[in-house]
Amino acid sequence: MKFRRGRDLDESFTAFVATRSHRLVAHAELLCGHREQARDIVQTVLVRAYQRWSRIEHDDPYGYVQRSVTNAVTDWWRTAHQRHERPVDVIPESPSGPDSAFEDRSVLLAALDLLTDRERAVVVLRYFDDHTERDVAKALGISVGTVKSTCHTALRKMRVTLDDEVRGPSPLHGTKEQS
Amino acid sequence: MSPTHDDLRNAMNDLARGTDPLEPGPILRSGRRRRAQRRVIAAAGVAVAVVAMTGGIIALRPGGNDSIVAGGGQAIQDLDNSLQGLSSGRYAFTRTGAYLQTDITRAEIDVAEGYVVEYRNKMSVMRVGKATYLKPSGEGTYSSPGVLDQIKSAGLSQSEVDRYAAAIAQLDGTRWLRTDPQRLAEVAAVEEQSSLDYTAPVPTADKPDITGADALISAVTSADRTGDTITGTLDASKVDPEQRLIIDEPATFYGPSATAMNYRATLDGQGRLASFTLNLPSTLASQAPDSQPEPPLVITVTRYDGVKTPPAPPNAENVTALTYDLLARDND
Repeated sequence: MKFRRGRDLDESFTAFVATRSHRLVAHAELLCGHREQARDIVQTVLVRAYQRWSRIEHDDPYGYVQRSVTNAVTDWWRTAHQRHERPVDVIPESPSGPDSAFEDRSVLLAALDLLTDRERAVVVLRYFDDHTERDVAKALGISVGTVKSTCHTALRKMRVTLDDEVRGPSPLHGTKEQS
Repeated sequence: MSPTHDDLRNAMNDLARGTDPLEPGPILRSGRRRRAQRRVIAAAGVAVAVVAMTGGIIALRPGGNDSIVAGGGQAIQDLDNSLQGLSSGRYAFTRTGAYLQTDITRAEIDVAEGYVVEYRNKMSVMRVGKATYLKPSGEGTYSSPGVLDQIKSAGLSQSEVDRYAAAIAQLDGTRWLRTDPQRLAEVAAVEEQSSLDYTAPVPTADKPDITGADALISAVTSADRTGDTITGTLDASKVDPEQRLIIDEPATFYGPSATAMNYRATLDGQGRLASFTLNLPSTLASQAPDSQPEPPLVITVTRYDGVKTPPAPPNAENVTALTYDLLARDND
């Protein structure tokens, strides 16, 4: 019956938002570095995904929405660059401790903020979403070799940053490179 | 301490675990609203073609002429005839409770001379002769105090900031703007959330009735007349979705009662429509514990042949190109 089908779709969509949206927001926040911006982006993507929910709900809906979020963030980077926006000019001082490289989310986000947009995307897709290098290459439209070298560079930057912090924390002035 | 790959992975997953999920309800509602708008746009061309080819209401009635006989032919015919007063293009009306339409608190229509339509959100649209005017609601995205500061901080040149300031000022709800109705239609068609998405179509010589009563009456399946009052049921799934009076795919929301919603119409002494009230079902297909009954959809029509042509607003400003752009997304 038609109305049963519509209700089932809505319930499936609602359950997905309730159980998976926190991870999508985290994915977006790791990519863009702004929690509220991340929530706005994921909300917009989910509203659009609802239009196609009957087609995607049984075929890896998380993967579909996550790819859309990645695209939305990279689009946002592009338009922000066109508008000459610099979301982070001064990265706030970050606490660090001797027992953990990432004391809290601010340390992680501060370290990610020092990466280029492409480096950041590669790191998040590789280590948060556990994508293979081939999948990352496909998602970002770059070669596997570029994924490898970009990831290597990104991790080296993050290590240097965190090692510096352990030696002596100081306010880090954003020198974010444009990819 | 240098991070290992596992440190990095764990830190990111910790961040995810500490992130609040989004509220599903508002996202679902936005999704349904967006789907309805997209279907309306897609259906509009088809609906216009159908009406043009078949001559209107009778062709759109569910079940064709068979239902007229089965549902009480004379009463339904009386309902059809009651629309002739609206077709004359001179009337006043109000409308509340339409699904994707802002309530209309006052509308005076004289298709030949002009019209004014005032909405509950304070937006008004007016035509005087050949000139069309809009008074924006003064609400929405560009009404917040800090919006200009955000634009300034985006690194725009001073001339660009000034251009935005002038356009935002035009949306403050205190000014009449001289507009191009075609541009307003284009702005409403942009796939962004605009206050114009929820406004009635403008009355024209080809389509003088903008009350939505014809769409409702064309879906009537039964009628019984007592004096000047006609009651019965209508099939909401047959209401032209272009009118956005009832939720898209009503059966998914209301269940089986969508096809037999109760209405009550009253006629004036000359058989013209005076009011039409559609009672929306109180039981939904998927009933939430806290759901409240929806208010009815109510159309009231008065002053056939007695409306006054509105005077042109003094000091109306010419709307800027940027103002049109902002109007396309002023309700986001």
